[in-house]
Amino acid sequence: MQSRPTITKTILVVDDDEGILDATSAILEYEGYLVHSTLDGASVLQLEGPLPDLLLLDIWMSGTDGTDVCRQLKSNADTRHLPVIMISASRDIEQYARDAGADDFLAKPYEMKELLEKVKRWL
Amino acid sequence: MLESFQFILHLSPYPPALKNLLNLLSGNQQQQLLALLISGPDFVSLSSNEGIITYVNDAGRNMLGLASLNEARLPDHEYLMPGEAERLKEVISNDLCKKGNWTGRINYRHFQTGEAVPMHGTTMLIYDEETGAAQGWATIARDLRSELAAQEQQRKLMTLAENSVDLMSLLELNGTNSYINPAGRKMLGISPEEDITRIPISSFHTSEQINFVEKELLPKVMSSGSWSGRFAIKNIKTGEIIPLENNCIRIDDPNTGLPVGVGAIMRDLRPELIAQDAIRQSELQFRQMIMEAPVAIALVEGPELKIVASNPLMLEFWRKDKTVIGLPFKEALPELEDQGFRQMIELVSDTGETYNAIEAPARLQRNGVTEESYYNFVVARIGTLSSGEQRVLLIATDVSEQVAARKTIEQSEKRFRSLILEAPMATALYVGEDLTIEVANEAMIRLWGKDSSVIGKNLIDAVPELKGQHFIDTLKKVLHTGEAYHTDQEQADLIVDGRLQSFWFNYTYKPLHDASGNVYGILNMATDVTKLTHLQQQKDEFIGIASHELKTPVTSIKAYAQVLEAIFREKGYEKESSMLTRMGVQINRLTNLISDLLDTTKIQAGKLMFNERFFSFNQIVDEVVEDMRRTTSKHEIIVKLSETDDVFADPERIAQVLANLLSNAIKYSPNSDQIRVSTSADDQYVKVCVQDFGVGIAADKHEKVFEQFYRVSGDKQHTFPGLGLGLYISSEIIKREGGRIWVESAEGKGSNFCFTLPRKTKTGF
Repeated sequence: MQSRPTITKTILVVDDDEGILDATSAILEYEGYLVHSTLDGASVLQLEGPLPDLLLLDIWMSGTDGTDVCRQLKSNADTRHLPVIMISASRDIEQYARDAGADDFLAKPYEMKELLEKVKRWL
Repeated sequence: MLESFQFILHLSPYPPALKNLLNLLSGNQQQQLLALLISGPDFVSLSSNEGIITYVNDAGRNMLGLASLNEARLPDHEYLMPGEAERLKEVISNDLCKKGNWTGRINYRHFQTGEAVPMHGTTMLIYDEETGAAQGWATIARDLRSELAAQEQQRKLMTLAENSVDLMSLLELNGTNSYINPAGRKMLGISPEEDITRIPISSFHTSEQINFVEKELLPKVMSSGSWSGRFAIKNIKTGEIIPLENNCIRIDDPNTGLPVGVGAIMRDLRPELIAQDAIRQSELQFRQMIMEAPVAIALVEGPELKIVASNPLMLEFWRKDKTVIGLPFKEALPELEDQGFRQMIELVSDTGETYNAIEAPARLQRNGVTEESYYNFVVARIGTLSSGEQRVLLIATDVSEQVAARKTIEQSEKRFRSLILEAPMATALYVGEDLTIEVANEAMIRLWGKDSSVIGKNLIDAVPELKGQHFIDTLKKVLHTGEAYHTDQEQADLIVDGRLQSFWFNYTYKPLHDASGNVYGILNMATDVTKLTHLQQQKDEFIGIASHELKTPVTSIKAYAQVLEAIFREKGYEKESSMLTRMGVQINRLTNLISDLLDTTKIQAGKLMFNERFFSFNQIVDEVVEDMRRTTSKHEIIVKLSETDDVFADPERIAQVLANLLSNAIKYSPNSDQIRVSTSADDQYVKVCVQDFGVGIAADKHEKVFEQFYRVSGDKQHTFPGLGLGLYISSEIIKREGGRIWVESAEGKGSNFCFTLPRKTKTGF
């Protein structure tokens, strides 16, 4: 891509599918972001150390509802400012995500260009 | 007594002629004259100067009810009616003084009864022969009572004639009328002042009539003394001929016995004739009414029930002609003998009780063939003849057709009922506003989970759990609109085996119309598709899960492909990167197929979601066109946008529909290179059309293309890939958004797909 970020931003990708986690990380890393990823949705609430700059959060994960995670992050003063882009295979639930406090929404399968535009907007 | 008369005669100077005459007479003759006076029929009295009656003869005493001469010696005023003495004194005294006598009316009084006895009398003074001084007076009077009575009789007769409504006339032998009463004058047009003797009788008749009068009537009256018969006179003013009943008599002189005239009394027949005419007219009308009546009427009379009259319709019912009129019922209609009709008519004739019958069958014969017909009839006794025989009226209407029609209906109703009862499909018939279950077969009763006791109940009472569900309302709507209702796979909650369960049915509510077109009931046919619905739900669920699961690896593949493409392009590996671009296109196709499957299952489950907001319609069109341009190098997409407002809908879904229409346009026009997109708006809707010039769609398929799994089949050179879901999903989206989607197309000419969306202003919404 033409304009690489000069200061490295950290993005946390949360999805219960390893394939998606890996492919999404590949795009973001290719773009020059520092990517952390996790399969465990609930672990996001026990983050230690500095917060990432952006959270990409899947909605339907086995064992965890992404919107619950989002709602809790947004209700906590320490994490409220963390931008959250929620991702789902069902585009119908965009409103559901936004109601939970998501800053943006991305439907799977997404275009690389679309992903990068949305990420860039929140960094 | 005789002496006193001699005395009168001798002493009275008057009348001298009489005195002289008496003197001339012999003693015997004198005796006779005196006897005439004394015992004659007239009243004779003598009075003294003092006014005392001194003598009244036998006849006089008899007239006034005095028994003897002694009783007669009374003052003269006692003989008179009250007030009469005073009146006479005035009228008499003058004449008596001057002439010595007076003649005039004297009203005597009957001593016994007090009644007036009017007399015409002469009173004369009686003088003393010696002194010549008046000694008193004598009165000779004639009793007028019988004369006055006769006059009264005459006056009454005259009054009768004058006031009679009949014409009365007297015809003199000279041919002129000497009298015509006022009624007669009026009939003849003669005013009261006119002198009838001057009007010749010929003026009162037509020429034939006067001829008859002269040649026949008068000679007959003259010869036989009278004539009676129909006659006519003519009003001389108006010329009206007046019919009369004339009674003429010859009037003879009572003395000579010779005819002196002809009297006539003529009764005006006009009112009678008018009345007769009216009766005749009404009889005629009555007869006509009977003859032409739309009901059959006949009249029978007597113990034999002789047919005296019958209108043509009754003859037609009997299959007879006029020859039966006059025959006894039994002879006229022998074929009815064993059917009880004659016996029944006899009973009516005897008892007078009217008999009514409804739809009575009668077997009658036409040309020897027995035919059965049905009649409503009335048999009534309508009077007794002067001979004492009864008269009976028969009135009948043929109701065979109605009976036949009803039987047919009953038959078909029966068939209809057994059709329902034996139908393998659950079937019920509801009747009336309260939806009474008229018929329900086993299958329907089982479907409801009830028993046969529901028959005859209202649907809501029989299946109370329907309360709160829409079925009753829908049935009533069908009842009121007369429009059938059909639906597939609809849920209904019913209490079966003691618990409320959900079932799914395909069912129809079909309105049933009566002869006049009114809806009288509803036929309900239902198929339980619960099992099928469950299977379908499982299938939909499976497809939903499967497509969701498919999306996950596709997302990864797509991400890898795109990042690889970027890397290769960055490194200058053009060939590899373009291969990855093409791979991306195939991945998108796969994505779309998965999305379509997912959308379809959502539509089936009613779970298709819409994120509605206001957006610019034209902008969405532009964006989708822009995206599509990238996918085709062959087709030029020409866009012509009119001004449209923002619309309120799910922009993603609208874009999906537009993309589907555009990709179809590209797919189905492999041999053309143009696609036209246009937008427009009217008061209520915005519209977009996507037109291609490709293979087109046959007219009979225009509706079908929007159905699930329908695919336009190409020719041998061209087969078109796809699941056949795109237009189905599009049409469901547009319907859900309140719009309409359709296609205008002809085979080989291309297609023009359009849809509309309702305009909703931001303020108005």
